[in-house]
Amino acid sequence: MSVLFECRDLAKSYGKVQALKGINLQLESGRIVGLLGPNGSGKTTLIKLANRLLQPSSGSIRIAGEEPGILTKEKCAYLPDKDFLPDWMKTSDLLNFYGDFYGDFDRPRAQAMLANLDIPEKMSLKKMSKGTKEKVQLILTMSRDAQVYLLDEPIAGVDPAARDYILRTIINNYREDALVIISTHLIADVESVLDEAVFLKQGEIVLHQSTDELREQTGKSVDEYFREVFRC
Amino acid sequence: MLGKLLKYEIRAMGRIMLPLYLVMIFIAGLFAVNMRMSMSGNAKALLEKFALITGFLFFAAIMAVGVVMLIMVIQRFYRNLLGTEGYLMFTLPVTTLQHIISKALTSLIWIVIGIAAGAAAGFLMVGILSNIPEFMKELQDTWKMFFSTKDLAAKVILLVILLIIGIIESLCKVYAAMAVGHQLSSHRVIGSVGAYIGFGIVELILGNILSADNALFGKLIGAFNQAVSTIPNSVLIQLIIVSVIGTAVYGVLAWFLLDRHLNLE
Repeated sequence: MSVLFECRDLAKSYGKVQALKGINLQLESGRIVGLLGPNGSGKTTLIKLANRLLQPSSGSIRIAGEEPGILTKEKCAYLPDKDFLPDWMKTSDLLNFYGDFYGDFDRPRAQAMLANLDIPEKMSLKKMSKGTKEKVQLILTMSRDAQVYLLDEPIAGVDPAARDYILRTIINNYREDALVIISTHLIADVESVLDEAVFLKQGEIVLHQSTDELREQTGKSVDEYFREVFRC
Repeated sequence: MLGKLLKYEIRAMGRIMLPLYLVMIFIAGLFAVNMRMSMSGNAKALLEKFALITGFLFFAAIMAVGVVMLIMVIQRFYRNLLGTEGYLMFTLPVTTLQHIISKALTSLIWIVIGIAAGAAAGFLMVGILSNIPEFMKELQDTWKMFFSTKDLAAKVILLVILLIIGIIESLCKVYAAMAVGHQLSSHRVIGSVGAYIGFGIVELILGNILSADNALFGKLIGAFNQAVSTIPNSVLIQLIIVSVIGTAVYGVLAWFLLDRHLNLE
């Protein structure tokens, strides 16, 4: 196993607000890691820094040994927590788009998943329901043979049946030597797929442990322990 | 990768601009046909009314092309790079500079196609309303006149270069203004408009300072008040250089803010 995600004293401030307070974190390949914390804990900031959508205030972040840039963008598959695809494009346009820009995009895999869900390739995104749009976004992201998958709140805002589908898609489609980071506050839904949990609280890492160890040591599920740590 | 960005950008703008250009040419033809029929037809009063209406429509189409082009230039940059689509675009394995170049080049291409479409509409009207061979001969004569002397030919070429660089400079100025407005956490549109006005004020002040102290800039400003044919080629070259500097300044500002201070919602 190799280190694919590494933060050293990573800090990010927005004006006077410190979103990340000098975190240190190492994540290895072959793991599905839950980045868990309440809203405003710094999860999205960390994922944006990994994608070079933000610049650190201090410290460093490395993906597969590289600072975020063009090289890491080729290796990272990112699913933002927003509707980020141009809604005038048809699904087939988006397949072409991903195929053009990402050498690791597996078009037949994406088409099989779309067919499986009866999502027509000739339909534009603006004609789709919110849930269908989110599925298209996830299918495109998970159809890449990336080294690192950064999934920001992939199950927020979809119904429980869709959540199961999304989690199955994630488990069935990532490379075994890849790293999957799932940021969420809906712990109960993702707990079963996680190998490791990272708890973020007010910009600091308060826990980083394997989920099996955590359950063994505390005698609680990750969700129960999360509720205890983050009790208001 | 720039080629791939251009491919999608040209398509994204073309899906709006191309139909608009075709409508403009169609209305020009309709207007000219009505005009011709009203000159020779029997139901003159009615045809004249139609000619008036289509003439108005043609004028409206030209205005619409200009307004939509401006909206598209702003929207393609603002929505595609600074809005939620920015999450897709800025995580592609391409550089920020390539993004800016693809936006500017695509806008330039569609503006040039727009000018060509306007010329096509003009040709169509002249063709329907008058004698095409005669018109073509006149056009050839004008073309020959342009290139009759080396000096005049050089002037025409310099003016075309100045026009193209001027368009790119204006695009970069709009992009830089949006990139500045985007730094604010709220009221980004007002911030962008304010930045654009601010750039204009800085340009004016710089122009005044340089023209007071420097004979060259005095000449440049003076050049705007002269008939085009009397502007010396050397002044045109200097104007091109000033425009290239403006493009570089606004381009670097937009690049710096997007590359180092991206602030997506």
